[in-house]
Amino acid sequence: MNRLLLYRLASWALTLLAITVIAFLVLEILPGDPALVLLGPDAQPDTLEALRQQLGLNQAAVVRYFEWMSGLLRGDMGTSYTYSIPVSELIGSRLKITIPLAVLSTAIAVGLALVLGMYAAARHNRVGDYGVMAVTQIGVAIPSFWLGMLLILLFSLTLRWFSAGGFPGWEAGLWPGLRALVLPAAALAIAQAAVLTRVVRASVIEVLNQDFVRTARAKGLTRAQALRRHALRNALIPVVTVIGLQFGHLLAGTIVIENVFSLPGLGRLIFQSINQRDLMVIKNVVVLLAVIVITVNLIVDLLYLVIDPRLRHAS
Amino acid sequence: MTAASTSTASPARKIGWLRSPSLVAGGIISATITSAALLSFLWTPYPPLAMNMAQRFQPPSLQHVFGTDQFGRDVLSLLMTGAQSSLAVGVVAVAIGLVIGSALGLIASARGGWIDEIIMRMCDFLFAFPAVLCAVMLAAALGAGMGNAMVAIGVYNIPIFARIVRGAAAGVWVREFVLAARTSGKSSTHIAIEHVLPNILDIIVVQATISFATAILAEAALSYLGLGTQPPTPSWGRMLHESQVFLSRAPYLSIFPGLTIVTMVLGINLLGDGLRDLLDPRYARER
Repeated sequence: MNRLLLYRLASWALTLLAITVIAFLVLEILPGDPALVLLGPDAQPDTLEALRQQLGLNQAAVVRYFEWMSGLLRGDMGTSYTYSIPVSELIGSRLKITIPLAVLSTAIAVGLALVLGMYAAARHNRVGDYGVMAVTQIGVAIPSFWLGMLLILLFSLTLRWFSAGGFPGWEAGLWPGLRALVLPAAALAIAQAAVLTRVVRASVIEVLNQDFVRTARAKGLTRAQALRRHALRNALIPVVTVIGLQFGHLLAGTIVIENVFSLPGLGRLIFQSINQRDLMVIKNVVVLLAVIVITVNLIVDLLYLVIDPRLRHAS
Repeated sequence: MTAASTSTASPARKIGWLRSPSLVAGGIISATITSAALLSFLWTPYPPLAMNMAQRFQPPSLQHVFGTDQFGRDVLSLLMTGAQSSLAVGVVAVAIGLVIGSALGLIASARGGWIDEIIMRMCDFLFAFPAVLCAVMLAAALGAGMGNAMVAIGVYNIPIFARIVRGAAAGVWVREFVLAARTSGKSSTHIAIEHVLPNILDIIVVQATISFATAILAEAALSYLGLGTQPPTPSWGRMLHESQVFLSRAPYLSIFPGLTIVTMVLGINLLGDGLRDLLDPRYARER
């Protein structure tokens, strides 16, 4: 158990290190001159030189990398070139939108998937099952950003239940904030829900065919009771895995969906930073997003040990 | 389907493709859109980029089946030409993932040990960069464009192919004909290409269709963000981006490009499901 835990933590730390190296190589070495990227091709030579001085770009790449790293360890991500405020502050304020969006979206996806997946499993090879499977086929084929536009068309422009975009800020209260996140979260959730529904269905069908469920039924439990008391916990393992694997997509999806709904979150920040060539922001946000992805995967790995006691003794 | 394919294995396999509705439907949809993309090189109802301000925001009609946009351009013609970008990005991105990923997967399965460990840890690492994030980095470093979108989606596909090929190939390396080839003195590279690869080709083909569908979706998302295909080259994602401003005035401008993407992705996914059932009858029975 402890060795397994140590191995996972070590590989998490190594991946983290590799992520920072790649981000540094792609964003600072690949373009040649970051100062040129920041100022654009029309920049004057003396302006370029001044900026290089200011950003410390005349130092060797290795020195720059270690300075960035030691800054990160102190929680210092540098200063945004366009906003002139610390990047960490900028990211902190944007996370207040992106994290709730991702969590709400995951909640919607998991809720939908459990209901639809268990329904389909209970109706295995009957009309209801085929119906759910057809819906999931369409669900995985819909681009989230287009679904977002359709939701705006229906619920904002036609029914006027929600605003078409923007965010009032959490200062305005919990409900107005959540209300602004409902449509984007729903748009983001559908593709995840479709994938998860298939996983829930397949995994419940498999578990329902196992001996311990038959025993439970023989004891006199109804199908639904057997499912709730015995099958669900076992069926949840692959579901948790897929939620973890999908989380990266979800987070990347927020970049797109925040732009559809003009939500001032991390995704919109990174997108604007590309247009403003704010490398300092991009570098740190990319690393942060990648770190969130690998951390969620680590947590999922550790969750297995909680859900399935057998794994604790496996290695 | 199940009974037929088990009792009369060989005839069922021969006409299997006719009995698989998803294969037929997916094939027809994919073929239609691909033909439209190819046709657009030679002919479109109107020149796709020709502006006609007198004909702005025409709703769908007999002259303009899918209507016209804010510049009076014919939406059907734009969609046909836009299919070129989607398909090009899809093909190149899947090719990158397939070639590099399969090679890595084959090497990992052939060598095992620490080489296997390193390749697989590299794949874990690549998983931390979803296609959109990869595209964001490339766009920031090198500027936005179709080529970067291809590379970003391709890189995202590398670990997917590597894992699948490694898993599938592991079982082939221990088969008798591989051992026979080894005793006859053939090199690992030779065996990998001549004996292992043909035996896992079906799995690679199925994964390629699935990856192709996700690549189309990713290309659309990147172009929507302005990180993919650049104007004036028409692309589905870009059309949706431009249409969003006119959502209440001309909703059809958003509806048709979106429906085209959904239809295309649905078609490829159905094709993939059908191929999987056809190539791996075990899977068909399990369903």
